[in-house]
Amino acid sequence: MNLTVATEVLTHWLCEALDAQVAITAMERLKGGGIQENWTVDTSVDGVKQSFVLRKDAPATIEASHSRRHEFALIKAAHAAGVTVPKPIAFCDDAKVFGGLFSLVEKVSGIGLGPKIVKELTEEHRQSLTRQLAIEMARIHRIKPPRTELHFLGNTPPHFAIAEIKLMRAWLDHLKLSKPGLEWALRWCELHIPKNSETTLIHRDFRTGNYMLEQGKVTAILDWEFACWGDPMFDIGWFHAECWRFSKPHFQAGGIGERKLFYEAYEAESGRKIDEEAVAAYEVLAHCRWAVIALQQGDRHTSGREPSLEHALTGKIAEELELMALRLTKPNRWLMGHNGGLHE
Amino acid sequence: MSDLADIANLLGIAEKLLRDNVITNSPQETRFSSLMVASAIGMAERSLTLAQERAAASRDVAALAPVPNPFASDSEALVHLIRSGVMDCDDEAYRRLLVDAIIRTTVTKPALVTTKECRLAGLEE
Repeated sequence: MNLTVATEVLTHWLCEALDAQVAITAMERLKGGGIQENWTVDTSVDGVKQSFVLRKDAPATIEASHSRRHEFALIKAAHAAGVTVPKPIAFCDDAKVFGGLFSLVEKVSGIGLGPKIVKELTEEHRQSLTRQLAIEMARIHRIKPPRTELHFLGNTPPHFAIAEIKLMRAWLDHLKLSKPGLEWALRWCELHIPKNSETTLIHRDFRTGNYMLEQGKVTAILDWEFACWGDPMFDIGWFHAECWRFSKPHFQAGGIGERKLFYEAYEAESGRKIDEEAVAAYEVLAHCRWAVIALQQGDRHTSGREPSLEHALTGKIAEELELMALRLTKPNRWLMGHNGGLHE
Repeated sequence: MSDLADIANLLGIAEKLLRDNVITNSPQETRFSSLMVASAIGMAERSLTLAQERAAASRDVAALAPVPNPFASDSEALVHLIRSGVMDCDDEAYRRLLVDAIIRTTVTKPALVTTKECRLAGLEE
């Protein structure tokens, strides 16, 4: 792609999309992104400085090209529901403009790295961040099926949790890995996660590390690629699971705050009562799911497809996740009734 | 892949990463790469130490007979049993699975393993 020519064509497209006089003042490709290219685009819009992020499909990945369009639709739906996301600007269907389909969102500032957030968070900001995240999650869960613009999410599953467990077993079978410890925990989940649940949009990867933070304020909820119709208790369990507390186990809400405070803020915003038994069970499932994903990452290395120390080490995380899941599923915890005290 | 082969493989990758990235890349990437290399080397070291301890222990066992371990020898069958519900709530199965997970975690993330768990698995604290 000739960047000078592309910039000219992109400028023309921006003028039409924004219905304004636009001049691009700087563009830079961001590091990373094997599936998509990310660019920062600094502009002057009718004389006012504005910065955007352009997310473009990699040309060779047809499936991924769909995902950018879907991701943009999800961000638009979330934005309309009051979730703090990068403001969606426009989606370009014409691959000739910038060498592939792309979405344009407002650039947000802040830090996103989980370990850095839990390490640097001040006491002053701790409580307000916990409340903010609970409110953000509650707003995501306001989005309910059916939604025409989110048709690609498919039908709502009759039993979300059972479908998740089946999927994880299928992934393990596909990897040809026998992991009895994980299977023990998955079997426990099968027996303990409520079969009947409400269905809403769920983010499915809502955790510390997937939001941007600036001076104690959430500037964006990121990474929507796993969003689906499902049980809202899943997101609460995923966020509180010990594996996502970044070595701050006493701050049960994502390593940043108190569980009770998160629950209170979530219930106040959503009007929905949290099912603590379901959340506790989804926390076990969270360890299993992250373990299976880690094993998949590890397989990218061990299979020889993508030799990488990072992938290899990610695969090793499954060991500690299995231990964590087993700690939560002792035999004396198999027979507990409702609210059986599964939290530590 | 056996444990030792797996670790040897990690060390080989670590060496390549050190050569390719640490020396030539920016300070930020150097730090990230260095952490990964340190993790891999730490796992290798702990794995070899554990193997040596176990070898020493087994020499002390009369007749040097291998300890039968149905969990290691037929984990596929065990997975089938767990999925079918036959092992639900089984104390002995749980204890064996836990000990196995404890031992593996002492190699990958020893800080996570408690003193009580070390004792349960028969490991030195």
